[in-house]
Amino acid sequence: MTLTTTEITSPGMTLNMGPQHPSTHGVLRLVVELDGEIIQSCRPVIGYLHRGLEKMMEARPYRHNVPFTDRLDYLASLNSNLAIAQAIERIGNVTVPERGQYLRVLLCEINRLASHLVFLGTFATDLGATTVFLYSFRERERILDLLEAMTGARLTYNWIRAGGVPTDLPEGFGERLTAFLDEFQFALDEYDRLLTGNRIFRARCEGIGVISREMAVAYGASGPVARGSGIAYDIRKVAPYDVYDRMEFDVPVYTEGDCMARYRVRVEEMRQSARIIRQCLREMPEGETMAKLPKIFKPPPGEAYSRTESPRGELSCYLSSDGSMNPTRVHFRAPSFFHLGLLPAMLPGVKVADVIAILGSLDTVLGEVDR
Amino acid sequence: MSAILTRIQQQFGEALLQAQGGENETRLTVSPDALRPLCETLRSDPALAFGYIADMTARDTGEQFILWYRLVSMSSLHTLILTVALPRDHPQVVSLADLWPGLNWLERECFDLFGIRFAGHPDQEDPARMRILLPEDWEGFPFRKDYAPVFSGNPLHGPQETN
Repeated sequence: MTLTTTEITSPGMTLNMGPQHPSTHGVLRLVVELDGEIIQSCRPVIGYLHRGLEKMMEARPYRHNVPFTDRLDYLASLNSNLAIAQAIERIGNVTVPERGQYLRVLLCEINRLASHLVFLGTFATDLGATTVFLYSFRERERILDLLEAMTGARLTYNWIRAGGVPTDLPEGFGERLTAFLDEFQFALDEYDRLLTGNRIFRARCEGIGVISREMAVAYGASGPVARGSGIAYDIRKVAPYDVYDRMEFDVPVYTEGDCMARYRVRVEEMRQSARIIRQCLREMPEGETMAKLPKIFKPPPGEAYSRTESPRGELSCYLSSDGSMNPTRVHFRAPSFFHLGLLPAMLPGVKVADVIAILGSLDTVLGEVDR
Repeated sequence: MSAILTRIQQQFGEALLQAQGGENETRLTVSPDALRPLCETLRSDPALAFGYIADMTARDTGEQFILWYRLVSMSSLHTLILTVALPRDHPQVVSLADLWPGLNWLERECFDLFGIRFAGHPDQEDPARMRILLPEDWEGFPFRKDYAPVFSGNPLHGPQETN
């Protein structure tokens, strides 16, 4: 009897990842076609969190829309507040007092730290390193305490308004913040030792999910995703707003374009944010924090847009006015929206286990994708 | 006048309905017919090199739809704002998703919310695949100013008819 071997071919399999799955960091559904464990194609399905925020904003006066933006990028609400506040100021020609600008930069950078710490914890958890989550959330807790002392809220701050910021620093805030930053730099070194040199972590990240420079530009990637692919594109440097032009900080850029590069950009960004926070505390002048705006705010007809650097990338808000009290159109350019758009191009050829690492490294927030 | 605007005007002088050039930003208004040739040049001309699609959206003025593109050149960091007006009764424009792949989802969003059709878009044939933020079987285009939904009773199914 002779044995013959025949090649068995099987039809591909369609796998639904999400919408209810912890690794999607929200309600995202990925429909992937598999051949064995290799992905043939991927179609992200979004919109599960669509609340029509932009349409709701059309029915309200300009300044009443700031609380909605808290629900866009809920890990960095202050940065979302800033996007619409800046657009309202541009369309209405409002100048923010200098102290208000410093306070905005200060708080946005603190919020960036909190957001990147969530990335660090969840990304490591996705890859099986659950310890980091506990450490990074320990630090984040102290940041949230500081933000609570400042704004009264722990997640949806609604604190950056058109014209400036409503309150000044509470008593002893600077000392508390400095004490935190002094310890935070050691905490960052600790994460570095836990993860950056970890062989398992590196094996799951290095060379995985490579986004080339050309691809990042063509798909409109921004923030740490673009900077991990060798593009030195940071709105705080290329189009400085508030007092970022007076701040001394570096823009970390890595050229590998893989998950590791995006991770390293974010860790380095935390160090740079700490530098900016210290400069703000040192150089902040005394004075008003909020510009005086008329009770009935009617900007001239026209359109305006803002450009801000949120922890996820370029977050901008487009406003159009017809001279009445309400905007006729509000639109948010959400960086995560563009990053998810990269997935159909990135995932073919990737093993299904690496999808989790890739999705984690993009650090998307579905609240701003679906709006 | 900036060098970038001069270069565009040399080639497309008559197609530009409005043009305004600043140090960091150029604003152009073009007719829908001129959009495709202009964008091909913006993308490929090494002196312009607007390779980065920063944003795109639409708005409804009541009489027409206005498309608004924001492009950035990664070499000069210059911003280009492009506006195109479309008639409200037949809102169709050429798709640019093959020039800037990032536009693929943005054009789907404009179809989803405003009902603007993009000829040549990869998902153009099937409205259910074009929908991106709303459910696939949603009827009507909610960001139009005359959209008045009739509630069907089931919040997941959306309105049954629009008037």
